[in-house]
Amino acid sequence: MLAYYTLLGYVARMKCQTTQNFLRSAAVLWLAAFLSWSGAQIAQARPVSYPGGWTFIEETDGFQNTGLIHFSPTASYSLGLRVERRRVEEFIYIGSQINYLARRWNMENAQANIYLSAGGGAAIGDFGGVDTRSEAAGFLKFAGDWETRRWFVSYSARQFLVTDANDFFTQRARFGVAPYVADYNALHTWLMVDIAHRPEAPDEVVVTPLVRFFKGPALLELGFGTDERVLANLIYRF
Amino acid sequence: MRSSFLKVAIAAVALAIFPVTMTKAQDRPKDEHHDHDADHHEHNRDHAHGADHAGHHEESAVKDEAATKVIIGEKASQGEQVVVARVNGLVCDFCARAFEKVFGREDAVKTVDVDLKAKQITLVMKPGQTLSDDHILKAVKDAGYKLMGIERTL
Repeated sequence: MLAYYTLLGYVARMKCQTTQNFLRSAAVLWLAAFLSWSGAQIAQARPVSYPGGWTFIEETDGFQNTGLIHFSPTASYSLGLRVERRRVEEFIYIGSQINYLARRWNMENAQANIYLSAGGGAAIGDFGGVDTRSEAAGFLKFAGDWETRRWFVSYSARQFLVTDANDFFTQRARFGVAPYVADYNALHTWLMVDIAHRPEAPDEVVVTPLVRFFKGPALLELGFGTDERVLANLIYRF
Repeated sequence: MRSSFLKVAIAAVALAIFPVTMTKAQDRPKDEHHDHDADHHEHNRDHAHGADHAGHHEESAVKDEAATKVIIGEKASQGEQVVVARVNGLVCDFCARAFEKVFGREDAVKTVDVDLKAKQITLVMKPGQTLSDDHILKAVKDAGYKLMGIERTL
């Protein structure tokens, strides 16, 4: 396992343009390794479904508009198609995405997960310039979550890599509480705070209070961030 | 900007409080119904166990015996076996959805009912049909969860 993360670290180093980015990527990857080994519990919205399940995800915030549809052959991984419009970097990423459930802890009253994701495809746009061009692009992502029916904590970190353009790093943490605990198919409501850190963005840290509505196969999140942009996320599990 | 956040916070609290009232009102008669049924339904039960944590299952089975009786009483018809699987990690609607889909595909299963509160899945089998403990254990494990115990009627 450690060798695997070391290899990922070297891959990230080859792509990263600065030592700072490399150190950041390596730290994230080693954190993933450490957490996998230590049994620590952290996370995010679940990117892997049940065997044979399809999931549609839409994410909108100050940084991006994203559409992702994925299929889970098993409960360990999912394969998907991702379209992501980057507002700050001014390009659209179109590519594949694979999500891997590295570890899950099933407890009597809680569940915790560690996911690793990777994607590869093309970034198309003017990248803040004049001419539209296409570049090879991809990303590595680590995500972890811990939740009960009352509490939710998650963390994710992603290194986005683009040839002949600036790479960028994003990390997010989220805390949530459910004011009441509902049964399956009833309306679940969560009050959450999402904290996003993007070192290269004009708003480096964006804090977004949000409300999550969760009912059966559908999950909707609405919030308004310190960057004065709306957060609107939708997940539907078929 | 601060006023915007204040508005969002007030809206969030208002949205959260409204369903609280609804949920509590819905839950109350259900709990009373459970107590009533637990007193009046008796069933023959055959206890089977998941591969791991059999000891834990024994303790939990006693603790949740009344609740299990209620579910069996509500769901079972003549000649239909009811299987109750207790599962760890069952914390959200996506988990419940997964089990509805996984067991809903089984030819032998008539209905699937997931109870997040009791952390159990109730399967009503078609007349004369059943699923083995090993089959249920594999299905739960393959779905990414941990089976803690199985109880069944007939």
